[in-house]
Amino acid sequence: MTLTRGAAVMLLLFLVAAVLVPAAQVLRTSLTDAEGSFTIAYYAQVLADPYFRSSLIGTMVFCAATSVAATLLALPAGWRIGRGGRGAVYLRAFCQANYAFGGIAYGMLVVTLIGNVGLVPLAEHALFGTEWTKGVAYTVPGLVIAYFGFQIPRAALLLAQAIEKLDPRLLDAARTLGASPVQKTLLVVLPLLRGALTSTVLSTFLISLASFGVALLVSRKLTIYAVAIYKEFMAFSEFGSAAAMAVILSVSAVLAAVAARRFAGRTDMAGL
Amino acid sequence: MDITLRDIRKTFGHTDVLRGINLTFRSGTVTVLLGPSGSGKTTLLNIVAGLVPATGGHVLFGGQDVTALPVEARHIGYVFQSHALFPHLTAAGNVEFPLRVRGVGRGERRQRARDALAIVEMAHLAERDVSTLSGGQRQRVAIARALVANPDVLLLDEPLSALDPQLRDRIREELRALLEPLPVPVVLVTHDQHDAFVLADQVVLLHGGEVAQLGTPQDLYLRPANETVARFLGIASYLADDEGNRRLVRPEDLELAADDGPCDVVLRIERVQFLGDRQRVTGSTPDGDAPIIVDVSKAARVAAGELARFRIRRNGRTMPVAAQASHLVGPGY
Repeated sequence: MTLTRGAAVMLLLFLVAAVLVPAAQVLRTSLTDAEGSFTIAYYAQVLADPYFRSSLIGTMVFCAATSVAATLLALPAGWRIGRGGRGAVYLRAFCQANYAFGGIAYGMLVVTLIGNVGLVPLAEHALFGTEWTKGVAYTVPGLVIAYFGFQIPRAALLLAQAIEKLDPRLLDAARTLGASPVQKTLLVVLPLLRGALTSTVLSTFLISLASFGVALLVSRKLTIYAVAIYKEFMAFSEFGSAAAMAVILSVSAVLAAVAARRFAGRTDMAGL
Repeated sequence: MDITLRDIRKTFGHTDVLRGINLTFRSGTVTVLLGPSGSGKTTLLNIVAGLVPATGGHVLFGGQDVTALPVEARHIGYVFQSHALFPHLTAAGNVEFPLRVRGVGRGERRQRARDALAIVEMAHLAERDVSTLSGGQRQRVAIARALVANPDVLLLDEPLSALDPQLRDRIREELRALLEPLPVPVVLVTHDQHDAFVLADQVVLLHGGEVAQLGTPQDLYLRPANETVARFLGIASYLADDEGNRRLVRPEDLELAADDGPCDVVLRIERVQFLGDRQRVTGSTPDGDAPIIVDVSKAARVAAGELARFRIRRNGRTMPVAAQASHLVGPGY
């Protein structure tokens, strides 16, 4: 009992020191001008600025779109991991290793593969004499590939947890009732996984919003909001604006999460 | 359309689960696959359905070899032990499912689903979420779903095992009434002899992956092919007569003899169990070692340690198996 209470107190202290205090400090910075007076000028400034506004909207749309796509693309891998079968163990290990890589590693992989002097452009040039793939890493498709690199394995693991809980007799029942594999997927599997799919899209979206390393390395055409915050803070020492942008990003993420939950509705048969 | 199984074999690893099964399931006939756990009955059902591939042999639907056909192409109805209703669909939605995957239009499939639910007396609960239905109601929805597309065969895997005993008795009767008029072969798996006797036109008793006996419920109970069959289908004791034949006696086959009347066997009573509507007596013949179990009326005066005289009822059966020492006494004892 004492141990449990002690652990709870420690956890609370850690939460206060590591999360609440810094968050309060960021909020205070965003609402305080150079003279120390209360202000909302930083919010007004970053929300009114077309560059920051388009960066925020672009980031939200990009992360949402890639999260949905990554979740759908992760379904086959999640299915194999969740249902078992040949290669399932290795697939799970590969996806778990993804957590160790981190976003910046994926950015480097993409640069190495399809950067200006990446392996693919070099091979293309050697084989065909063309340069179609040169510098693709720095385009929006390159950014998508880099994001997929960390989104798909994580989404696959999240989906696998729900797929493991799927009652196999329901799938057998669908087959005995005459459903083809496609009908079984569309009419039984996806509806049963609706809650899990929503949770996976949401988790992937939130991870993507906070992902910083990939965008820093490869994003040229699209200014990812986290990178914009980094530049405001590090390059221009605009602490008030950076703090306001951080708060806006956090609030936007929370609102998006709430909206996604509402959209998912009550169906959560195999939710996470 | 009859279903024929030819030399069906199934091996899991190094274990032979089914060893050359040859059977025919006739249209309009309810066949019950009966047997203890591990006898291969559910595996055989799943081979008929196509859910499990046979290691060898052939499955024929009306003469057409469907062994290689996937389950979705076999046009079967299957009622799972757990019912396996889709939790994201209503009762009507579940029943519509097989029609939906066959491309039946919305109006027609709604009507046919309603009709199927009406047959199982569930039309009034058509729009209910299946999670709110009782076990018996879920089972009826599962049967309606299995039948709505007019399958070539109806397969049921332990349909009563998930029900509590009181409900089970009632549903068993209802199920019999539902299955009886069906014009297709019905194959039902159970490990419960009461279910088999009430539901079956034909019983297949499986043991060790082989057909131990095939016949009507009366055949199996009254004329078991061997001791294994006899014991699986209820309490079976054996008495040997003067000619060395072993006589199968069920608990109801012996009755207490009148004090001054003739008797066929004398038992030393070892145990008396009160079962409410009757008493179950376990005893042995004076020179025998095998226990004999007899049911007597609840009012009969029997006590452990005493000798009791019994007569064999007129319907007693003789089952000539290996000869043993005589335990039967002469009529003048």
